[in-house]
Amino acid sequence: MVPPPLYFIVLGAIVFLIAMLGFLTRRSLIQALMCLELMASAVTLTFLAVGRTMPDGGLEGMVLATFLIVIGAAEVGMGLAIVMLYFRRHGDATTDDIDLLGG
Amino acid sequence: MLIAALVPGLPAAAAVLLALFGRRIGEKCAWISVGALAGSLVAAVYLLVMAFQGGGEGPLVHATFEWMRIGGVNVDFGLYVDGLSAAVLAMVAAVACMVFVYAIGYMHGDERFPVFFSIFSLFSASMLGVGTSSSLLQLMVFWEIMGVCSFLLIGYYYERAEARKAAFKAFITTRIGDMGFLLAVAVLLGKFGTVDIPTLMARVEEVAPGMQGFLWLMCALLFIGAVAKSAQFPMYIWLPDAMAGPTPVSGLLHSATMVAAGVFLVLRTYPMFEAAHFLPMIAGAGIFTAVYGASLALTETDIKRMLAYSTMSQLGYMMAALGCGGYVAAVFHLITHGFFKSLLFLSAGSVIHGAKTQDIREMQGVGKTMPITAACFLVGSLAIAGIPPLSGFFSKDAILASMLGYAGTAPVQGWIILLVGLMTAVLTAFYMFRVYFGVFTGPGKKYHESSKMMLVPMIVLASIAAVAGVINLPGMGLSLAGLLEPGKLESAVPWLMALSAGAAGAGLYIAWESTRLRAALHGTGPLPRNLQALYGGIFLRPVFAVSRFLRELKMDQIIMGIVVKPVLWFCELAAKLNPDVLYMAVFVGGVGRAAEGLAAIDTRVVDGFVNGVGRYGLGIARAVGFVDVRGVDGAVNGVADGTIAVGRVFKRLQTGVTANYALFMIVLGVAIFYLAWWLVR
Amino acid sequence: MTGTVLFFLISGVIVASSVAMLVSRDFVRSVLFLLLALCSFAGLYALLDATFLALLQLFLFAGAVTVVLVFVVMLTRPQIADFRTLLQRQTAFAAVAVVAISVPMLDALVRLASSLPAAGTSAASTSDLARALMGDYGAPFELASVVLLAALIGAIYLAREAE
Repeated sequence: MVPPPLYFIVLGAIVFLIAMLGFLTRRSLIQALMCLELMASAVTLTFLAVGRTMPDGGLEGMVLATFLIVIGAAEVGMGLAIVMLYFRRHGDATTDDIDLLGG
Repeated sequence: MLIAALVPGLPAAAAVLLALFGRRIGEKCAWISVGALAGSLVAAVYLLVMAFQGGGEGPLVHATFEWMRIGGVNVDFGLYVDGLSAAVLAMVAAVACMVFVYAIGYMHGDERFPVFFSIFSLFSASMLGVGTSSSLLQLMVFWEIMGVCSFLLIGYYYERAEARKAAFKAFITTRIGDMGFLLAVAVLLGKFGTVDIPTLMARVEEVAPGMQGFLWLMCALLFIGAVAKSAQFPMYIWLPDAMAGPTPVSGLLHSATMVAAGVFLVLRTYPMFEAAHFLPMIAGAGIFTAVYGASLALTETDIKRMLAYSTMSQLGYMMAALGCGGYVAAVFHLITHGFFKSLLFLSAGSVIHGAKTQDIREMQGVGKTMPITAACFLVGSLAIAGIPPLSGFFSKDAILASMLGYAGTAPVQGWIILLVGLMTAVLTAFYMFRVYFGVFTGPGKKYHESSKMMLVPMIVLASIAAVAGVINLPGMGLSLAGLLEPGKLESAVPWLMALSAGAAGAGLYIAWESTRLRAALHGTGPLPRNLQALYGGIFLRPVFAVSRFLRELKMDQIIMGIVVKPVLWFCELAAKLNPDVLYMAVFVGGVGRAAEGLAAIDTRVVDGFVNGVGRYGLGIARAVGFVDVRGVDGAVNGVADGTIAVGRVFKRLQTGVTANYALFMIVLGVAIFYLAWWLVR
Repeated sequence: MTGTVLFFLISGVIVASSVAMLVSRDFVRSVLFLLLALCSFAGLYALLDATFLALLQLFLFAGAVTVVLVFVVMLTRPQIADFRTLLQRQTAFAAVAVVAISVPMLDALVRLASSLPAAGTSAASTSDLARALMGDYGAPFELASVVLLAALIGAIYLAREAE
C-alpha cells in the first residue's frame, strides 16, 4: 500500500526547507547548486505524491515530474558551467564579496 | 549816493579784476588794488566831510533797493551812511591803503601774489560793505564774506599745518558767533518785518517797554556774533593762532578792520542794546576781556601773538566803553586803535622780516640797525599805552571817562570797571614797553632795515597815530562827538586824564625799569645806581628789593612784586588752562560732533529711509524669489529628491550578492505565504 | 504497512544525508551525501509507483549530475578552512526566513494533504507515461529537448577554455 500522501508532502517540505537553508547560507557556488538539486528533488516528490492521489493514477504527476527532472538536470549543467567560468575568473568558487551586480 | 557806492565798490571791482587778470599783470596788479582803495578813501573822506557839514541830522545816505519780498516781509539792500559809517569807513580805507602798499613790499616774490591781493581786495570791499550796509541781513552777508576772506588769508600759507589749523579755527569760532547773529536777524525779521537798520531801530525803540526780555535775548544773540568776531572772551582763541597768516593780513584784519566789525555791529544796533538794558553785560564782558587779554599779552614771547592779545584787550576796552554808555569813546578808540595797531603789526612784520624770527627773546637791539622800524614801533607803543599827546591817550581817556560816568549811575559796577580799566592801562603800557625795550634797545646784532615800500606806510600810519587825537579833543569844534551825538558836549574830566596818563606812565616806567634790571641780571649793564640815588626811599625800595630778589630768579617775567605777580600768576594760569583746547573740544568739537551727529542722522534717517524703501522692495523681490526657488523649485526638486531618496533606500537592497537576492525572494515568498495563509484561514 | 516503514526509513536517510551534506567539511563528501540523498529520493519515487521516474532520478540526478559535480569539485578544489567561511553573512537572516516560511508552508501543505483523497489503487504505468509524453504532452516534451539542447550548448560555450 502506498503511504498516505501527507507523509510525502511533509517530508518534501522538510527537505525543501533544509535545502533552502543550505542554499541561502552557502558561500560556495557548488554547494549552492547541490542544495538546488535537493530542492528540486523535494519538489518533484511533492508533485508525485499529490499526483498519485489523482484519478488518473498519477499520470500527470509523473509527466510533470519528468519534466522537472529534465529541467533540473539542464539547470545544474548550466550552473556548473558558470561555476567553471567563475572559477577561471576568480581563482576560487566562493561568492563572498562579489557585488558586481550591486547598485 | 554814488560816492557811497564807490567806497565798497571800487575795491570789489579791483578784486574781480585781479582775480581774472592778476596773473597776467604780475606784481604790478597790486597797484590796481591800491588805486581802488585810494579811491575809496577819497570817497570816504568826502562823505566824512559831508557828514561834518551836515551837522549829523539823519543819515547822509539812505538808499534802498528791493531785494526780497516774502510774505509780509521786505528785505531790502542798499546803502546807509551816517556819521558813524563815514568815520569808520575813512579809517578803514586809510589803513587798508597803507597796509596794501606795505604788502606790496612784504609779499614781494610770493608766487601767488595776485591771488593774495585779490582776496585782500575782496576783504577790504566787504569790510567797507559792512560799513555801508543798510540792512542787517546785508551786513551779515558782508560779514560772512569777510569771514571767508579771513579764512583764506590766514590759511594763505596753506602748506603749513598750523596755518591751515588756524584758518579753520578762526572760521569755525567766528561761525559759532555767526549762528547767534543769524538767529537774531531771522527772529527780528520775522517779528518786525524788516531788518533795515534805521527802521528796525526805530521800531525797536517803540516797542521796547513791553518786549524787554525778547529784546534782551536778541541782543544776547547779536552780541555772541560780535564776541566771536571781535575775539572777546570766551571766543578769542582764534585770534592768536590767526597770526599764522602773513603780517599784512594781521595788520589789516586783526587790528583795524575785521575784529572791529563786532564792535561796529553793536554800534549800529546800539538803540536796541540800550532799550533792552543789555549794556551792563557788555560792559562786564568787555572789561574782563580787556584785563584778560592784557594779562596774556604780558607773558607772550611771540611778537605777533602778543599783539593779538593786545588787540583783544583793546577791543574789550571798546566794548566796555559801549557798555558804560560811551558810544563816542568807543568809536574814538576804534579809530585810533585802527591806526596804531596796524602800525604796530606792520612794524612787527618789519622786525620779523629783518630778524627772521618772531620770538622776542631772540631779538635784541633791533633799534640800532632798524631805526625807522624802531621809531614806528615806539610811536605805536606810546599810542597804545595812552601816553599823551598821542591819539591813544585821548581815546583811552574817553573810555575811562565813560566808565566814570557809568560809575555815577551804577556805583559798584562802575567803579570796579573803572579800576580794572586803569589796571589794564598800566598793564598795556607795561607789556608794550617791555617788548619795545627788550627788542629795540640795547646792544644787538646787525639787522637789515626793511624796504621803502614797507617803511613808508608805517611812517604814514605813525604820523596819523600820533596826531589822530585831534578828532575828538574835548572842547574843540571839530569833534567826533559832535558828529556822532550832536547836542551832547563832552566835558573833560581833568583828574581822570591825569590819572590815565599816570597809569600809562607808570606802566612805561615799570617796563623800563624791568628792562634795565633784566640787563643788570644778565650782566649786560650795571645796576642803576643813579636811579637809586634819584628816587631813593619808599617808592623804589620794594622795586629794588624785588630786583635783588630777582637776582636769584631766572625768569624775567616775575619782576615786580605786588602789581605784577598776581597778574602774572593769573596770566600763567590762564595760559596754562589753555582754553582753546577746551573750546576746541567743547565748542568746536561739540559743534563738530553735533554736525557729525546731524550728518549721521541724515545718513541714517534719510538714507535709511531711502535704503529702507529700497530694501523693502528688494525684500519683496527676494521673498517672491524665495518662494519661487524654495517653493516651486522646491516642490519640483523635492519630488525628484524624494524619488531619489526612496530609490536610495531600495538601492541598498541591490547588494550584488546573489545569495542576498535569493534571500530577498524567499522573504518575499514568506510574506506572500503569510498573506495567503491569513486570507485562507 | 511495509510502505510506511520503508518510507520512514528512507526519509530518515534523506534528512540525515542532506544535513550531513550541509555540515560536511569536505566537498567530495558533501557530494557523496547528496548522491545518497538523491538515491533515496529515487526510492521514494518507487514507493509512489513512479518507477520510471525513480529510474530517471537515478540516472540523471544521482548519476550524471553527481558525476559532473565531482568533476567540477575536483577541478576547482575549493578550500574550506573553517566552518564559518562556509556561511554567508546572511545566514542568520536566512535561518529566520526559513523558519518563518516553514510555518505557513507546512500548514498549507498539511491542509492540502488533508483534503486529498488517499492514493488510488492503480498507478499509471510506464507505457501510460510514454503515451502521455508523446501524445498529450508532446509539445512540452519537444520543448524540453530544446531546453536540453540549449543548456548543452550553453554549458559548452561557457565552460570552454579561454582563448
